[in-house]
Amino acid sequence: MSQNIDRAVRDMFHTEGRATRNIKYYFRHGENSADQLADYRTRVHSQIRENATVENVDLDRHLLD
Amino acid sequence: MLFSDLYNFAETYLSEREKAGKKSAIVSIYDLKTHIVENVNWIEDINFWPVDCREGDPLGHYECHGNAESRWEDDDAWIVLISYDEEPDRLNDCYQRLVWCKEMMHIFDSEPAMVHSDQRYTDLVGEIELRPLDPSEMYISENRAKWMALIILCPKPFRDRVKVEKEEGALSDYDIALRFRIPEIAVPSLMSDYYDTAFEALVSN
Repeated sequence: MSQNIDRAVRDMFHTEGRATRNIKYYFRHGENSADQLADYRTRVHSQIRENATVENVDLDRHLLD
Repeated sequence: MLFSDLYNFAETYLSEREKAGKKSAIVSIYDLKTHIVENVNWIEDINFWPVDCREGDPLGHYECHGNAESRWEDDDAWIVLISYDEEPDRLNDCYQRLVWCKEMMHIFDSEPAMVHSDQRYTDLVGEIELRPLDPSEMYISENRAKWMALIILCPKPFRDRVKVEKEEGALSDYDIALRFRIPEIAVPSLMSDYYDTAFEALVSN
């Protein structure tokens, strides 16, 4: 495994005060690289932490009548 | 809450919408999420985050972690984070619903299926790359969650009715996808005999 994975794993399971119980991916058909999965998770957390994304609280309510 | 309890909620929910003459007779992810948060005592909240993805990124991602702020008061408070590709060209409303629902189904993962340590994470991503012949429970849970999502979004009596119409030639795959608001790519699985096998294994047992 690459350094990228090592870093991601440290962040996942060893950050103080945040126990991680489970992590899963909806991976695409075809090739999936472990490096990319780890990098993806790092980017997700960064976008949430830096308020670069807004939580979707309505989800599919717009489809209901 | 067992998976069969959530299934019963979904089936009743859809029946009631149909009886009420609602135009959009679909199982809403919003209402599923609300029901889960209200009825699963270890879940404090489920948050959905649309994220800016790159080509090749996963379509979604589930993560369950302790809520640092509430842990001091309640050791069992957990937050579920679900991220997903926000690009509509890659994930339309229907595909998003399947991804959201599949990721939520990981709340039913058994302990052997949970990824909660360095070693398990490394093993899982290794399996995702290698697709081994004898996958672990962690890997199998991906497929199980997809079937759970399909069964929740398309409860059996409604799916069975649609299957008859499909066999009579009255409905195309697109019509079925539109009716349940699921991606068209999922319709062959929904119409397959394996749906009944999965239903028996996941709901009846």
